[in-house]
Amino acid sequence: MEKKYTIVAVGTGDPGKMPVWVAYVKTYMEKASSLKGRVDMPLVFPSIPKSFDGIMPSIVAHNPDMVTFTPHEDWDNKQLLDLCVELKAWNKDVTVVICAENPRNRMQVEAAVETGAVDYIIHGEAEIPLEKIVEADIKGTDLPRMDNLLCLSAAKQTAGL
Amino acid sequence: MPERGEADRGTVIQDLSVIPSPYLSGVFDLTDTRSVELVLARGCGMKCSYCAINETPLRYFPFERFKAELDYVTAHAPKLEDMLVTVADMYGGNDEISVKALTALKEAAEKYKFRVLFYVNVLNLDKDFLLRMSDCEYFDIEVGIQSLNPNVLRMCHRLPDPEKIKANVENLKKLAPRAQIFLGLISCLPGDTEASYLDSLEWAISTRVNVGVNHLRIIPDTELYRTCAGMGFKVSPVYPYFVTKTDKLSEKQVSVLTDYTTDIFFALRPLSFSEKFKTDYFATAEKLKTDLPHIALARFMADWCKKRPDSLPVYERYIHGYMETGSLDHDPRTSFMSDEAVRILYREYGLLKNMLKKRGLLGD
Repeated sequence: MEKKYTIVAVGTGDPGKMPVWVAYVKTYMEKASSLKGRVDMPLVFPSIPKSFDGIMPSIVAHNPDMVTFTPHEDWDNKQLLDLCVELKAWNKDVTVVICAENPRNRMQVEAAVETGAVDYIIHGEAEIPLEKIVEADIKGTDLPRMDNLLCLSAAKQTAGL
Repeated sequence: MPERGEADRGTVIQDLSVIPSPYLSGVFDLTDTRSVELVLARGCGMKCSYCAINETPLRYFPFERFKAELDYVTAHAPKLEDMLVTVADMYGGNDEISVKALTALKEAAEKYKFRVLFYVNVLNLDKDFLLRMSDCEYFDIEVGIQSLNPNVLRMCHRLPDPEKIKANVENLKKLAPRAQIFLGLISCLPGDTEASYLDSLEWAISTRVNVGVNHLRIIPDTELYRTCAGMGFKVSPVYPYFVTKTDKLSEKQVSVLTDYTTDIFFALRPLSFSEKFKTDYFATAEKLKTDLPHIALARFMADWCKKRPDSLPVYERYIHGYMETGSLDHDPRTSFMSDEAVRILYREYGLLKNMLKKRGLLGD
C-alpha cells in the first residue's frame, strides 16, 4: 500500500481551547481536498500550555514529510522558530509551513527568513495554499503563485541568502 | 524579501460546507474540555481599516452544520464552561442564520449552563428582534465601539455618528438586560487626541457596562500601515506591532496615556466583584464636580491607593499582573482580585470620598 504523505500539525491556539482552526485544515486535507485519502495529518499537542518544550519527539515519531505550525499571540514565536531549526537539523528535507491566519497569530516574516528553516508562510486561511503545496510536493509540479503564500525557501535561493 | 498582499477570493474556500467539521469528525476528545470555539462564519463584510480579518469575504457555515456541532459539543463536553462563537458580527451579515443561531445558543446555554461569547458591530444594534433574542444571562456580547470621535471613525471606515452609537448601546442594554455587555475601544487611532480618547472612555465607563481598551496594533502591509506611515506614526518593529507614536500623540504622550488607562482600569476592577461598590462608585461619580467624572474618580482612587500602605500592595500586584501579560491592552476580564483586596479598596474608597467632600469636590 502506498505510504501516505504525512503532515504533522502542531495544535496551538487559545490556551484551554481545542485548536479548531488547525483541525479544519486537517479535516479538509484528509477528507475533502484533491489529495483526500493520500494524506495523513495527525495533530500533536504541546503538553505545557503556551510552550513547545518537549514536543519534538512526538513530532518526529510520525516521521513527517511536512510539519505545520500555527502561531498565536499567547505562544512564544521564538521558541517556535527554534523548533523549526531543530526539525531541519533532524531532517533537512522535511517541509516546514507556518499557517498564520489572522491578526493575532501573525509571524514576522523577517524572523522566519532569518532561521533558514521555514519553507512557507501562509497568510490567512490555510486550506487551499496547503493543498497546493502538498500537491506540488507529491506530484513534483510547480507551485502556482498565490497572494497569501510566501515561499521562503525559494526566496532565500533567489536572494542568495 | 518576498512580496505579500491581501488574500484574494481564489485562495479561500467560498463554500465552507466542503470543509468537514473537526468536531463531527471526532478530532477532539472533549471529555475534560471547559472552553470551545464554534465557528459560525469566516471573514467579514466590513472594511474597518485597522482590522485584518476583513481581508477575506464573509462566508457562513450552513446553520444545520453549526447546530450539529453545538449538539455534539454539549453532548461530549460535560465540563463545558464557555463557548466562543466566531462570527465577525452576530447581528450583521445574515439575519436568518443569526436568528437560528441565537435561538439554538440560548437554549443550549440555559440548559447546560455555559457562557457564550460573540462579537457585534455597534452599527447593527438597532436590529431589535436580534437584540431581544440575545437577552440571556449566559450571553457575553462584545460590542466594537473603537472611538466616539467622528473624524477617527470616518478614517477607520466606521459609523461616524456618536449619537447613533450611544443610542444603539442604550438599545442593547434595554432589550438584552440580562446579557453581559462589553464595550471595546481602541486607543491611539489615527486622528484621536488625548482629549477625544478620554471623552470616548468617559462615555463608555458611564454606561455602567464592562469596558475594554485595545492599544492599536498596525500590522505591516495592511491599509492602515500604508496610510499611517505617511502620517508620522511609529509602530513597534516586532510583533504585536503596537503603535508607539501617532499623528496626534508623541511617544511620551502615548506612554503617559497608556499608564493613565492602566490606573483607571485598576480603580474599576473591584467594581466587577462587588455590586455595592459599583453602585456607590457610579452614584459618587455623578456628584463629582469635575470634567470627565467617571475617569476622574478612577484616577483619584488610583492615586490614593498608591499612597496608602494597605492598598499599595494591591495596586502593585495589579500592575505586576498587567505587566506580565506583555500587552498594552486593557481587558476587564483578565485580572483577578481577591475578596480581601476588594475589601481593602472599598475601605480606602470610603476614606477617599471623605477627602473629596472636605475639598468640596463632591456635591450632595
